[in-house]
Amino acid sequence: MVAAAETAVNGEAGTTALAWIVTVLPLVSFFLIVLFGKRLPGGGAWIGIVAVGAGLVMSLVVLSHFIGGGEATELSEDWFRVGDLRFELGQYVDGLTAVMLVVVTTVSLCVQVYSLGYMRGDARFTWFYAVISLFTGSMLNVVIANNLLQLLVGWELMGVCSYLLIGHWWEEKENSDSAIKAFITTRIGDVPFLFGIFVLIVATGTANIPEITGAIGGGAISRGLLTAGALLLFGGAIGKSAQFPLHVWLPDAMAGPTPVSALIHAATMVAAGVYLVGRMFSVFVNADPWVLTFVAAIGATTMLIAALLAMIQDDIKRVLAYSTVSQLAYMVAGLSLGPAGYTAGLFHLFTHAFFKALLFLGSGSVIHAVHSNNMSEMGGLRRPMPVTFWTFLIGSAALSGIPPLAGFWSKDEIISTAFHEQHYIVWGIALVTAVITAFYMARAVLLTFFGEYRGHGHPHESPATITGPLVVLAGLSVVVGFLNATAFDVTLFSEWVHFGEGEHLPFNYGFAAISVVGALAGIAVGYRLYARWRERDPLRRLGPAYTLLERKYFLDDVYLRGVVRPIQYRASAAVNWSNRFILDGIVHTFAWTARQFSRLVEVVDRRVVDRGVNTAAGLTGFTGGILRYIQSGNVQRYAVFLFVGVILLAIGISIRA
Amino acid sequence: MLSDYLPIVLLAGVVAVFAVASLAVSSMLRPSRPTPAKLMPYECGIVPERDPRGERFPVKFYVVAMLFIVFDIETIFLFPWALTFRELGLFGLIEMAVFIGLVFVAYAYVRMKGGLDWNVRGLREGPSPVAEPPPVDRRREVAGAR
Amino acid sequence: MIAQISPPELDFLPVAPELVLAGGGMAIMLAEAALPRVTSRVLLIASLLIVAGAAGITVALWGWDGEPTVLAGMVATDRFAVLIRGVLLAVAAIGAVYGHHQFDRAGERRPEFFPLLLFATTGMTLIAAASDLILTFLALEILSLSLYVLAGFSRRVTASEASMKYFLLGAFSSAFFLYGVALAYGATGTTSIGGIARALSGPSEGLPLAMVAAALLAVGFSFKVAAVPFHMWTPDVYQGAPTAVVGFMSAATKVAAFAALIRVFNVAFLPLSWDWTPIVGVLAAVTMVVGSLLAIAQTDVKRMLAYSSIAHAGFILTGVMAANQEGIASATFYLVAYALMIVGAFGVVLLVSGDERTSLSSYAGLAVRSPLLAALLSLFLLSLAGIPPTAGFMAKVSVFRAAVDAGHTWVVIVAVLASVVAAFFYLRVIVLVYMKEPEEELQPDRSPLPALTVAVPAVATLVLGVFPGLVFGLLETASIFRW
Repeated sequence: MVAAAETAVNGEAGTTALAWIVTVLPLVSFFLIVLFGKRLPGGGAWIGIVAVGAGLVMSLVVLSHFIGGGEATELSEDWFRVGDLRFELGQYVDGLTAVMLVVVTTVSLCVQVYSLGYMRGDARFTWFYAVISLFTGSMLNVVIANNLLQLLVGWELMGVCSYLLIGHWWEEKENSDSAIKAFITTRIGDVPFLFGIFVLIVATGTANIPEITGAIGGGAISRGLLTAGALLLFGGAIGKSAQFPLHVWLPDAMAGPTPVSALIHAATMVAAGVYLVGRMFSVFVNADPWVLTFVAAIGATTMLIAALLAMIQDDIKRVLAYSTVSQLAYMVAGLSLGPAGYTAGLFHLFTHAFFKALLFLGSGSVIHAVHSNNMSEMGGLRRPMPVTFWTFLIGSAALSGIPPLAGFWSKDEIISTAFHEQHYIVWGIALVTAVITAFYMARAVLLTFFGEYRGHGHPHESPATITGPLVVLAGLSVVVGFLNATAFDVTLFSEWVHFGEGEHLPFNYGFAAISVVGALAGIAVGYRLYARWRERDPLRRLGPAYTLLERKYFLDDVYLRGVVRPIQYRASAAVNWSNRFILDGIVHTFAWTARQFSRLVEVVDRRVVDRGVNTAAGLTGFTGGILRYIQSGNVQRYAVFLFVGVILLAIGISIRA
Repeated sequence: MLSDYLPIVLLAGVVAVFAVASLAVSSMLRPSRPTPAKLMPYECGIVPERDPRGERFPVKFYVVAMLFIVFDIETIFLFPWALTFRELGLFGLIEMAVFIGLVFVAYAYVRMKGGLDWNVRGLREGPSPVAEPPPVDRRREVAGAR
Repeated sequence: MIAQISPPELDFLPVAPELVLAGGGMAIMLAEAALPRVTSRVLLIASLLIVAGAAGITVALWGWDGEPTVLAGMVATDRFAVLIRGVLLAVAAIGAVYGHHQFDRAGERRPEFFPLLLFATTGMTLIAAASDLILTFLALEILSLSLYVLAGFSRRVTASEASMKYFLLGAFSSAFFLYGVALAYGATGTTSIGGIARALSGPSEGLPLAMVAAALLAVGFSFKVAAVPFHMWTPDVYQGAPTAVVGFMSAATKVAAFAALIRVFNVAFLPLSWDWTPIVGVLAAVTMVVGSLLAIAQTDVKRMLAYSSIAHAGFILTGVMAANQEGIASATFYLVAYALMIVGAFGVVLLVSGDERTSLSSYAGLAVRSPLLAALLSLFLLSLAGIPPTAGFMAKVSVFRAAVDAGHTWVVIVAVLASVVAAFFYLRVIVLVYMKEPEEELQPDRSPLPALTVAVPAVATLVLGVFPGLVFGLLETASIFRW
């Protein structure tokens, strides 16, 4: 694209030079908290809060650079060199970066203040703050990285932090299992991501992002390589942003403390996948057109199936988790619309971060009060917890797309762009999803805050450290939408974040009306079904469809049996795992061969090598048997294998020679 | 140039084939009817009294054998040096002194450790690197003594 | 013939570190024999002083501007040798502390440990600098013989078994190596590494023979670095031998043998690189896959680390097969990183598994018993898994990138897959350590000295993960061989 070449850096760094300090601050606070946290009053939490607060101020300064239409800037240092290979450490700051800096620091600040109350008295309070700081720093590093390897560092570190935080309360086995599940699932997505990076390096000879986009803009890169690169990068995004079929980890990740869910699993880390697609957008745009179609397909599928799942959850955090998956898919679908949808998709990323963090923190406040995650044990909380109720209501309305709240503007933009770009299927699914979204949020609000209290004890409003952030985020959820309120010709956000010419559609009252009517319809149905508490969820009348949803389309079972369990439990793990990944037919052929082979080995072993020794062949299977046979502890046999190795080497050489 | 090695390769091949073939053929042709008497170790026709595998030799024999090799090789090195003594001159003298010095260090070490002291049971300092590992059943007793 | 023998030019400074190590080792051996009452602590201090002396000379050698080789072309004076020596000496110092601690704790008197450690180090530093295959072989034997004995340094029967296996298979592989030297001489008429390169770069009819020689030398090295299929001894020996010894040998042997391998293949056989890179690539791929897969099934921490060490040999080979300066630099960086993390990991094992009870299940809940050791272990495991911001991550990235740039993409694909699989089993241990309740009585050793020693590689792992330039800066000149 032309624009890609234009974004190549030319502006003076100016105030954007602060960006890397924003990134370094939380990392420093991580070390300070780890080293001194336990000895400080307040467990070192204030270090983290001050660091990220300062970061927020600086981020706003960085953003101010773009208010007057500032240019993208880059700062770069040689990190190290290997011969002629350069590894850089640097920052690339454009409007998208600046916006993301603000989002991450804002949400992180709110979450850290909130955790003062929520995590009070936790056995690993200090450690919690340390990891949150490290996480924030890693995410910021992903945001500012000017090259893919630096981005990868942050990317991987986030995975580790997420793992640590999900398993924060590891005393319950379920939590540590969820942590492993999250780590492994995202790691599976990391494999294509790594390959994608390599493809781009091979194609362009550099890992520097502006240089890559520049090279692509120059048209020097073959389309086939770009297509491969785009698909592989998207694989990484699928894992990190919990898109179908790797979305399974996110709902389970709710095992972590609620502030963590708000920060990591709603507002920032899961957004990293979408951010990556946005950052490397020129790769996608210049690849074969079907790549974007594929992205659209994934987005559309995910948004619908996740929204359906959100309808039937009893655990309030799971409702929000599936909702997150669904909304992330909105962003992905927005990006899949090409340059026209770029701003829309990323605008939704921006607004969603605020109201989803708000919703999670609100649910945390509720959970804090009733000591349960289950909505069946809540109800009627609007009276004892007014602040939580009103802020949660604002968040829900924003998510449902009620004007003039934030979600309305961004969601409407995606929907109308989809229609305008003639992606009617995406448009249709997005509309349906919007209705479902309004429905399940109405359900959640009604079950939680209306009716009679069904739980134990007497819930009270949470302390100010908890409600304070809620109020702030609620305020933001109201206003941030106006940054791109096309109805009033405010297009600030699209000036910061745009791809190419940055053209934007005029506001279309017709589409807006359709969206709003859809949302209201969803709410109405929700009210009709859930205004009165019923022991049996009315949706159960759906019969088999309900079961399908209840079992999460059976995907979890497939993964659990196929991937997670074999890894978790020792032995033959690798074998089983790879078996499951191969199609059935191949599996059978393979198994047959394996049986024959191990039989052969057994025969050979029993008849020829050593009658007395009962070998391991015929135990767990092909590989396990053979390998155990080899590693028998018998030194003579080792020597034989050493010799076999020599012979194989000799054969290899004679083939070469 | 490589073809010069051809006869060696051929010979090696013939040797291998012959060895494998004769073993294989004899095992295929011979009758195999093992009886306990046949499976016993052969000891001049009498019934063996002990299990030969359980037999142990005093460590001293190993030490003596190894010391013999060390000093034997030292002497072997001295001969060629003696033949070229004049050509190598002072340099050779120094080199040889270094070499003998090294062996002397080993000798002194063994001497001080009691390795040449035939009357003492084993070496002075417990199981030394050259000694065999103590048998399993004595392990606890040795460890307990400390 | 005899009349032609003439004394070579002698310049002993470049081998002064080895002279100090060997001389010091003998001195300690004699002193201990003469004064049987001397304590292990005194011997430890003496050994550390000797290592420090050797290190001092090594540092001074960095600025050597004399001949590229000395002592009749036997010893290279390039900075590669200096850098590797530095790493080896650091590992040796750490190993000495480990050994002192382990034997002292068990109440065993093992004064021979220190001289043998110094002799092994002598062989290792020498092999890194050897620029003649004869000297390479001699150094290989010096280090091997010392290690065979060290591996059996325990009252446990398994240690003797480990020692015996290591010795038998080692002797076997040495024979192949020697045969390779002979064939190399047959093909080129010289055993000098530079000389072989010169002979092979011209037209020569000995090329097929030289390839066979290269293969046989590769067998010898592969055995020492534990590359599949010459890795069989590794798990048994690592499990059986005393942990302190394993900590030393797992790090130092691999560094030394790889240093020699890199020198031999990137100098002597560089003209044939077109022929050997695919073979080394296959070796690397198989090693990574087998090492990573087998590690998953292990229930003993030392065996698991053994397979991990095997897998890492594969990753380093990936760098070697790039056969250019980037490849050498990245492989060398990998060696440094690997040495740090494996010596550290075994250090933690030494402290946690007193009594050599090394089953993985005994690590459950370590975080509760000793948060410090748990954190150190996790750091080393994360580094072994290649997760930022540790040295292991930088090492993997640079090795992969060098291989990709050299056009060996397929090996990198295998490597990435293997490293993902590998992450699982390191993670398993961390889960055990942090997320399980302690099941059995676990009494980690709380002695300060070894814990302090383990902290050194830990800090280095982190520092190199953030500032890899510290080592890569040295490697700008240290990855160039002079011959």
